[in-house]
Amino acid sequence: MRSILTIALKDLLELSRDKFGLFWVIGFPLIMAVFFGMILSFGGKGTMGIMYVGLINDDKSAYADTFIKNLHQRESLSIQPYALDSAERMVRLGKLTAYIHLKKGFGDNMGIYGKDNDSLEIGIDPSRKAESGYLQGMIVQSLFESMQYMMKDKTFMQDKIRIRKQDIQSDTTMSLGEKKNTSQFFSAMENYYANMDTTAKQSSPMGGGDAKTSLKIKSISRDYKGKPRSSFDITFPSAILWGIIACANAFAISMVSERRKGTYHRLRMTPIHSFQILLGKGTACFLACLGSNLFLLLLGYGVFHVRASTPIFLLMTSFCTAWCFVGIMSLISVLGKTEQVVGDATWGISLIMMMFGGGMIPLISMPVWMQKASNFSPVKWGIYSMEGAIWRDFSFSEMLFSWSLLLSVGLIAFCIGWFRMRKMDSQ
Amino acid sequence: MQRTNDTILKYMIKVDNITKSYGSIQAVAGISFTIQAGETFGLLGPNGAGKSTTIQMLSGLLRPDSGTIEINGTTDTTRVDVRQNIGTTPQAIALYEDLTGWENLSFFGKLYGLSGKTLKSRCEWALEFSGLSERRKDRVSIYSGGMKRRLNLACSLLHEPQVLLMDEPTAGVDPQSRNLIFENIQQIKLSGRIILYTTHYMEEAQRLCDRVAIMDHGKLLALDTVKGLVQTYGGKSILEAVFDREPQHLNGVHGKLEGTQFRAETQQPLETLARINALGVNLISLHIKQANLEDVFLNLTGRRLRD
Ligand SMILES: Nc1ncnc2c1ncn2[C@@H]1O[C@H](COP(=O)(O)OP(=O)(O)OP(=O)(O)O)[C@@H](O)[C@H]1O
Ligand SMILES: [Mg+2]
Repeated sequence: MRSILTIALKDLLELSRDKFGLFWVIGFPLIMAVFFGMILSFGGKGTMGIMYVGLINDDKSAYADTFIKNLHQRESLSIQPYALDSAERMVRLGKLTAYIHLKKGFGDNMGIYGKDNDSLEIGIDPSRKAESGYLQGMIVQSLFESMQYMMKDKTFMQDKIRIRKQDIQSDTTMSLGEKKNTSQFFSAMENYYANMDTTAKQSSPMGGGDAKTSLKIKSISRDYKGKPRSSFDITFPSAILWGIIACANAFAISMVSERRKGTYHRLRMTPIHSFQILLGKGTACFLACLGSNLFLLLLGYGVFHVRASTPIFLLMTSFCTAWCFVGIMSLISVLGKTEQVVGDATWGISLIMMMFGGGMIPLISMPVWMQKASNFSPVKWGIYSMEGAIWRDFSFSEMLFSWSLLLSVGLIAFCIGWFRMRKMDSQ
Repeated sequence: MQRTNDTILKYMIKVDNITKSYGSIQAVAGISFTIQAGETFGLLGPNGAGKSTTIQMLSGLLRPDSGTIEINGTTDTTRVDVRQNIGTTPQAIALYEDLTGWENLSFFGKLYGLSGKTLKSRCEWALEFSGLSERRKDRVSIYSGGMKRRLNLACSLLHEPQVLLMDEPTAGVDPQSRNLIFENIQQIKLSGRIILYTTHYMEEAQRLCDRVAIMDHGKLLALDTVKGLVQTYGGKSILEAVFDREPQHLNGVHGKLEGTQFRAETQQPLETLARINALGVNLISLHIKQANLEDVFLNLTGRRLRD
């Protein structure tokens, strides 16, 4: 045990002095995680330029129609009619950014809303602050414009009434009594409009800011179950795999390099078994993997809000993935006799494993054929179970499947590597 | 008495007719020798003679295709406990370049089971031994070739093994450092350890080794003390002299006389010289070329050691 640790510590010390190696183990995955996370989230914002909003119209008044028509004209909003419960569900799932609920009576006060007025309600996730503000601004604008439109309509109507009244006055076919009755009716209407006009002016706040604060918001917490919360939820697991691959490669190469430089022979002349050498190197690789994992996860947690829904699953996944690639490392290390050969082989194999395993194209955006192909890459199972612990909300049995797969691949690869190594040694 | 004999006999190397081939190349073709405790044994031979292969078999790195090796009464040299008593200096420098001299020493020391104060004092000793005390904190990658060589040797001596297998430990070391190494090896020699030393420098074999085996093409051509080898295979010494005048007769001194120039090939150059003295002539110049291991090799193989 002591010799295994001695070798492991020596290897880690060597790695810590190898700036290039460190870059691949920590720097490169970090770039992958942060850089691609940002690119993806920018891309996401671009498509979010159109905000999908559900509309529940329980009012069915003309004013409501005007308001809805106005909302439809806004290019940044995509308004779809919904029933209240399905709109709520869609918001929860993140398929709709928000919903607007026009309740009965919305048209009665023509969208004039006071403190107690709750005839318009917005349903949105409280964390979507930017979108919420944006949406409220647009709603206020639409209310205002609809109102103005209606006001304009009133003057038009009043004009019409006035013209009609004049028509009546000049009409020679009507009796005086008839004229009186009809113009009284029209005057009443004129009064009605005039009164409504004043009421509207009195109670309608002209500034949008005031209105904005009094919009009623219902918070519908988004349910992230089985969904990545951000692009970093996707880039961090694959970055972690990049880190693990880099560790495995570094140690595969260090194994050949020891062989070529003769230090491996020297190790074999010391009173330790050659499996202790392999275990020592494996331990170093394992610890380096965990170190790289931990660094990325802490950074993800602290800065990019990457959260594990089940931290213990994440821990286990780290262990199993590191184990898997330690095994693969020991196999790769005996594929050739020079650093060149093994180096080329490791990067070739890793790139293919990464490409098909979701290290380059996120698993969730892979075409179906590729998703099928990905099953053959251990990287996929690493990323998949990382995602399982972070956002896919895997059950224990789902995790267990990935873990046992990773563990067995690691074990098999390790054994093959060990047998091959013994064969090489006995030559 | 019996006990002492046992302990003396304990650390003994017995090699019996071992062979080793790499594919079609037969690197070692059946060699046998024994080395007793306290003995420094030289394997002298040109490139490709099979010296390193022999060392690797002794150190348990390679298994002989046939024949047996017995070290310390054990025939399986690949056994871990046997390796604890062996210190091998590989011919190729085998050090971790990214680690410092101290870190290299302490790493190998730990693998040989040293720890704590012992480890520390042995590392100090090894740095002293290799003249690198001042450079202990430098990475090996910036050491000179000779420094690396010295550290390479020191790493195999840390655990004070009973058997030392040194494969050309001085290749590329300057004469001064070489002297330092020789002095140290002589010290180790005094402590009663077995040293197997391979080289293709005959001066080294001549200076260090109690017995020398001449190896070529995987075979031992001769094995004896240096003196014995020279006497048996070195051929005659050459004595050349110029007299002040031509002697009348040589009076039984074997040699060739041309005018005042005399040349003799003899096993006993000093005796010949004494006889010349009796001729009653004075010597203007005298040159005696004694046979050495180089001549032994030349006579045995028809080739020079290094050509
Ligand atoms: N790993 C190997 N594979 C194939 N052939 C080898 C191997 N090692 C040594 N040989 C061959 O075995 C023969 C003996 O080599 P060895 O290294 O034992 O010679 P040596 O006496 O140590 O030579 P040198 O003085 O150059 O170190 C050589 O012909 C060499 O080419
Ligand atoms: Mg050699």
